[in-house]
Amino acid sequence: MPSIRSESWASAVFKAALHLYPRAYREEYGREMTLVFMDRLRESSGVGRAWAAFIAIVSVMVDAPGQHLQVLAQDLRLAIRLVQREKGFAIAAIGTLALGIGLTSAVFSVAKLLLIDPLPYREADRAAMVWVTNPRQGFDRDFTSYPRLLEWREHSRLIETFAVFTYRRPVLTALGDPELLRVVKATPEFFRVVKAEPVVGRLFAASEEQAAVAVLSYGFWQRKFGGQRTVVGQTVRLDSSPYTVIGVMPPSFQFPDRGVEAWVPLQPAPEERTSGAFWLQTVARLKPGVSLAQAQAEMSAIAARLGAERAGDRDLGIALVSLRDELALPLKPALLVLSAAVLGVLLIACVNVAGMLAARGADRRHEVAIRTALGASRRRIARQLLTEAVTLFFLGGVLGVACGSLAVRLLLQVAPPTVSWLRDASLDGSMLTLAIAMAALTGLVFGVWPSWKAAGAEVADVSSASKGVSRSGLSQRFRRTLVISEVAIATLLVSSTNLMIASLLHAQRVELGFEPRGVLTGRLQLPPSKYQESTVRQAFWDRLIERVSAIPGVTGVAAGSNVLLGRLPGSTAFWIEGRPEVIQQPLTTDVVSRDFFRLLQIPLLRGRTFSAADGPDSQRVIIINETTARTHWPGADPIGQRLKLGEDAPWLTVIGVVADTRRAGVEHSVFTESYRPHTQDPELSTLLVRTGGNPSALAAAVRAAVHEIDPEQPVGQLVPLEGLLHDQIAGRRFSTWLLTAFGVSALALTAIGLYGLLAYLVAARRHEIAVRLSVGATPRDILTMVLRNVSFVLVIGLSLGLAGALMTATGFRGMLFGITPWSPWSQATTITVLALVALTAAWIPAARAMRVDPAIVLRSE
Amino acid sequence: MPRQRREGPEPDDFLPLPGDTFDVLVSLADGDRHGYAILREIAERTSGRIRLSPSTLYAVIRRLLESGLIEELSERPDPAHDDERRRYYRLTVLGRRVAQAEAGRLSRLLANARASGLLPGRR
Repeated sequence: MPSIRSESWASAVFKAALHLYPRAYREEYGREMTLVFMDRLRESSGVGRAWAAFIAIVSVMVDAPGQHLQVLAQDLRLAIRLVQREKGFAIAAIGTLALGIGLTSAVFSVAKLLLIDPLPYREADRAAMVWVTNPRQGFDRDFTSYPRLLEWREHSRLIETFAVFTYRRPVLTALGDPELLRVVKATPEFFRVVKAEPVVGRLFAASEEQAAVAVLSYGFWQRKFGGQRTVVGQTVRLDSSPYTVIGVMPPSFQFPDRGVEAWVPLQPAPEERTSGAFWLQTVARLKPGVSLAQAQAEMSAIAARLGAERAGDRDLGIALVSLRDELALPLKPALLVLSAAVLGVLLIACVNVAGMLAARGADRRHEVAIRTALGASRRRIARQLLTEAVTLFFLGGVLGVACGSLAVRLLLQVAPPTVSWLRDASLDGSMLTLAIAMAALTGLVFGVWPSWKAAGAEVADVSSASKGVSRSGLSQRFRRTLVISEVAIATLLVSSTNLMIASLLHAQRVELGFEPRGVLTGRLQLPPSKYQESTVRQAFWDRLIERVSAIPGVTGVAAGSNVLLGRLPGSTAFWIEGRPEVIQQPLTTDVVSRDFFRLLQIPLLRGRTFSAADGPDSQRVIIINETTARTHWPGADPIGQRLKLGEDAPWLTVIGVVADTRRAGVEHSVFTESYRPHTQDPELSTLLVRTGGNPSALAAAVRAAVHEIDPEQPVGQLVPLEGLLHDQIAGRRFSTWLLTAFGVSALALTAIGLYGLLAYLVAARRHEIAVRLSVGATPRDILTMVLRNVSFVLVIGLSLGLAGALMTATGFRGMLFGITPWSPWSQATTITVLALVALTAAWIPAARAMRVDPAIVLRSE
Repeated sequence: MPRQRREGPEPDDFLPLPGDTFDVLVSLADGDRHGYAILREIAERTSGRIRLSPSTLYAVIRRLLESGLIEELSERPDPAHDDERRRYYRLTVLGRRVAQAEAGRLSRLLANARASGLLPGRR
């Protein structure tokens, strides 16, 4: 008895194990194997029997995967044979997929790098930038003053450490040719807030606020010291002062940005410790367990308290911005739009291939029906068709990897240098996997359906189908739905592309208020140690302007304190004579040479510009821009009025009003701005040279003129001002180009999809068309029939796409410039473009339908 | 179910044969057998040294069927004796030639080993 029970038990286990085999194999041999198994059990007893059962069951487990592989190998052989046989189809499908997968993984890799990958700082989520905001005047990122920092430190309970920093451009000497460095001066807490380990040496000690020490960037270390570890303890001379190198940061440390070459301690001068000027950027580390929102709430409360205490702080708020957002926020809209766009292209690609598979599934009903009649099971055939689909998607994926790494490399090649964040990009494995997985999933979903349908074909259906009585209505509907979704996605993409192109055109056309063409500009910072006296600085600039003016081809020379088309110059609150309250809306100030306005062709609206009479000892003067005049002297004449830029600063008399300029760049609004003569405040650092010819051709001569006066004086890069303008919108142009490329790809793929659908419809309805023609329909009627199909797909797809476009456009409003998301012009263009593409795609199938010869078609059946 | 034969394979194409495969072919050399009979014949012939598991046996049978070295019989050779559910297998002409070729190959190897003195010269 027990032996019979154990026998049936073992047989149950064995039968269960047989389910590991492919179904076909199990159905073929399972019963036999069970019989043999039972025979084997019966011939032994006791432990031997148990052992035999165990071995047999384990063998099944070991053998089963191999059988699966064999089936797969067989399917793959068939699939590869198919690829060889139907080359056109395979190339179209694989190419489409590779393009989709490659582009998607490339763009996703870049997006992930910026939006998801961890920052290279320890506990980076606890660090945040602290910005002063002035919601009333629309400033959301202003610097802070030293006294305000001290108050924050005193009042905050949730923030562990505050560090402040500011940029400097000192001259590096005694280490090759003198050059301008980009240095961050930071309080010693800096590296405790943005935590990172040096690769060599150490970082600032808490007591080193006054120390002349420097931490070098990895790039600077490699460039100037060849990466030698003995750099620690060596001296670098910045603006002629010696700084001892104490450490080197890793290459990944790029805070606050990637261009920084060294960090030195910030030593605020006594007057800076009390000054109300906004000149410091702040970064803070939250206490453990404190969320950004909690810290933000506390800082907002502190700002409110300070505002209640002091009239000057009334309109100021505080904004905490995580380091990630600080880095990625400006790029986020572009990245999201591009990611969405490329995802759209991938979807269209997959849908296209699905459509091709569906059509082939229908075409192969005959073949399938015959195989079914010969005894192949529906499952087996579906499995084979599915393997074909998956093979196509797999090959597309493999080629997509190549496409993707090529796309990333291409992105790096064509990206303008200003899009510096791209330089770290490489094809990301997980993003590639994601793209392939998406394609494979689509392949699975869209591959299963047509395969299953095709595998269900009966011989009777097929033989009737071959007579032209198509029963593939479902397949037609399926493909039509696919093409409608393609049109919708393409519409969405084209609409977004349109808006971006329109924005780019607007940005290129925008009035700067000054003439950048024909102007060469470069930075020239005099080291304070060498040019301490203002008269010496003045003399240098006077001589330089004179020398450069003498260069043949130069038609004008001017200088200013700040780079045009760069950051806004420093700004400050100010006082107007006769008004009790300080004016909090900051006024920017440029120091300029006499010919500045003439050279840049900035029109004088009222009063006069600076003249030789405005010397160091004469009345101190200032020129304001139109916006300042309109804001602070509405309807009145500001000429002769006086203002001062600090409580104890001297009064400055307004002598002129000049037209507004977008001096910070096309996408920045006009600020309240002012200009002062360099003769009264010699703080020049930017040279401007106008010529009738090519500005770049003057660079060498200008450099020579500088070195004639001071051979040790470094000159920053001399570039045409127009080039800076070009660089400024380079990022926008780049995104627009990419989006356009995606939009065009989407359109092309959609056109292929639409063409495929119509060609298929026309072929499937040849019989019907022939009958119609033979009973009196004209080719024109046939054309109408085809076009009715096109317009059905087009109208529904367009409507869905436009609805989607309206919803998403609101999302990327921030990227638009000079155009609203709902611009009717743009939508009309979208509709026109899609209609044209649809008609082009319909052309060949329609022509083919009209040429159907009823005599031939009907006779052949 | 009749299986398709590959066209014109030569016996040498199949050599060397895996041991299990050779054993199955040998067990069918003197008569048609069903699965369990093949197992038993192999076990007896090798004095129990080789005992194929059912899964290994049918993996081999499947491979042999697909390559046309054996075929499944449509009628049972000895209806009186056997369970009608059993499937019987028989060597095809090609299968027999392959088994012979393998046996020849093995005996040549054996002769070589003897000639080199690795094995004694006589049984």
